Amino acid sequence: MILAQVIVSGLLLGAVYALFSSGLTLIWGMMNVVNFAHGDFVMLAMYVAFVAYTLLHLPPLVFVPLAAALLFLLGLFVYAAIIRHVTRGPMLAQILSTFGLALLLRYTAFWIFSANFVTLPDTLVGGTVAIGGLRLQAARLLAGAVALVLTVGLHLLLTRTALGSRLLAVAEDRAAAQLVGIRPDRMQGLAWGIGAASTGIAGALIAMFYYISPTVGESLALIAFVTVCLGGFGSVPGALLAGLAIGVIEALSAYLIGAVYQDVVVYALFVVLLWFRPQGLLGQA
Amino acid sequence: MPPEPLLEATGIVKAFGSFRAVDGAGLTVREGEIVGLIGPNGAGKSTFFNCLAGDTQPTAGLIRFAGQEVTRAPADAHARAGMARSFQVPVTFEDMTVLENVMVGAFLRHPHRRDARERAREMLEVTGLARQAEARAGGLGTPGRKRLEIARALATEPRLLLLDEALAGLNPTEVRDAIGFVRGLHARGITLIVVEHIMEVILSLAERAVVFNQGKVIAEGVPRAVVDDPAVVEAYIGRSLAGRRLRRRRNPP
Repeated sequence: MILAQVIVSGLLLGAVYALFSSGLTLIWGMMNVVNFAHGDFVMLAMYVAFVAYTLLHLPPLVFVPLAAALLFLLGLFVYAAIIRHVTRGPMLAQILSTFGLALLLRYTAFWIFSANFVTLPDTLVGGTVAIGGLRLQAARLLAGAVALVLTVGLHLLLTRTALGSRLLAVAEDRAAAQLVGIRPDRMQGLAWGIGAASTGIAGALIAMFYYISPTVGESLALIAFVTVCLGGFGSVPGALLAGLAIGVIEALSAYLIGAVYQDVVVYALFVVLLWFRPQGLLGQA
Repeated sequence: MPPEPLLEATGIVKAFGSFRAVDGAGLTVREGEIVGLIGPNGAGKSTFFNCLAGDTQPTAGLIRFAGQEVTRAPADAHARAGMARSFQVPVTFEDMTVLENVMVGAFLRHPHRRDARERAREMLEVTGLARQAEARAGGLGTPGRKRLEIARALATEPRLLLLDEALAGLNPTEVRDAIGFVRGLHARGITLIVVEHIMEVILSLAERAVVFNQGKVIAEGVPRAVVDDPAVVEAYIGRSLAGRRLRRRRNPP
């Protein structure tokens, strides 16, 4: 029974990993740019939730969409102000630009919020929910469920709508997309907006039960990179599967071996998988 | 007053360094015409064609299409304004299916998925690709991908279609079929500009031929009259391949 409890809470956190990782995979899939600031986007969203709650007393129902909207705008801005220009430059410029952005965001957070760890009160979405003998923290259940629905929603957006077709068309061939009247810059900007909004929602959701600090983005970025590699670059279903798997592996190894070793197990399994399947679970060779 | 022409290009110059690939060329196309662009290799017709389509920005000149100035507009603005093109080497979304390729085109005028799919299926019928709808585009041969490119272009519902050597590499039977196909497009009300090396195609298809040489338009008119123009004959002679083809055409058996 405890094992089931561990697995389910792993799945719930994994769904949140899947959500922000699918934003990373979308940006990569659209333009082959790795957003090294992705984890710091999540960190910003967590602070949006923190400020919205502590200063303005806004409930999650308000601060989650608020974080999504603000991060969406940040994504658009980063694309228009930085990425659009550096993609014409050498590969190294692209890598360093998002890496520099990560540092800028991280140290701005240090400056404003100091290095202290903060948390939102766990009464925010209080209590536990009992489902079939499992007792789940309501905040985690909410976060996992919302993240799962939105990740699946992103996949449906990409595969079932005109907008999704346009995004995929630009992802595959910018010049060919232009031939059918698609503005590639708009689509790539939108991909950054959506990718960043996914971190906005994910960050605001985990802020309800996770510690918040200026460096939290570092470990979350690593999780996102592993998730994207594991799932296959550019694949949202892959990110979903990999995110859930990593959530469960983390939770199981924390339970069976000890919380200190959970990262070791995740990365060891990751290296082993890459050995046999370098394109990831659902990636194309 | 006659209606405004669909396409009007004046004084087009495209310079690469000190070399002027297009040197003051112009073209006016009225709605419903089929215009052929011909000329020896390196005459600048392809560069001119790319300027019209928005794939290359002219160094100087003015291009108006359907009442708007599009001289420096990108290719996507041309598509939205109602101009579509094909390439000598077809450009398709290779990882998508044939149907998906055409649907991406249809979304330009039909934002709803069901309408777009219906429109795309129609275009696959027109281009004879209906049976390959679910095949991966990258798996089609070059002739198939040329058809696919045209199907996708048609799905954007263009008023003007630019065909760049669409018939190159086809055997005589396929060329005959393709000529019939292009006539069919014209019958649907689409204005056409056709760049073609094969003189037969221009003679049997175009209502008007525009001859390029050294970046300039050296002759223009009814195809059969144009090929007899001394300036045109001179432009082709000495360019052995094109010259032979032209002479053969002028002395029918």
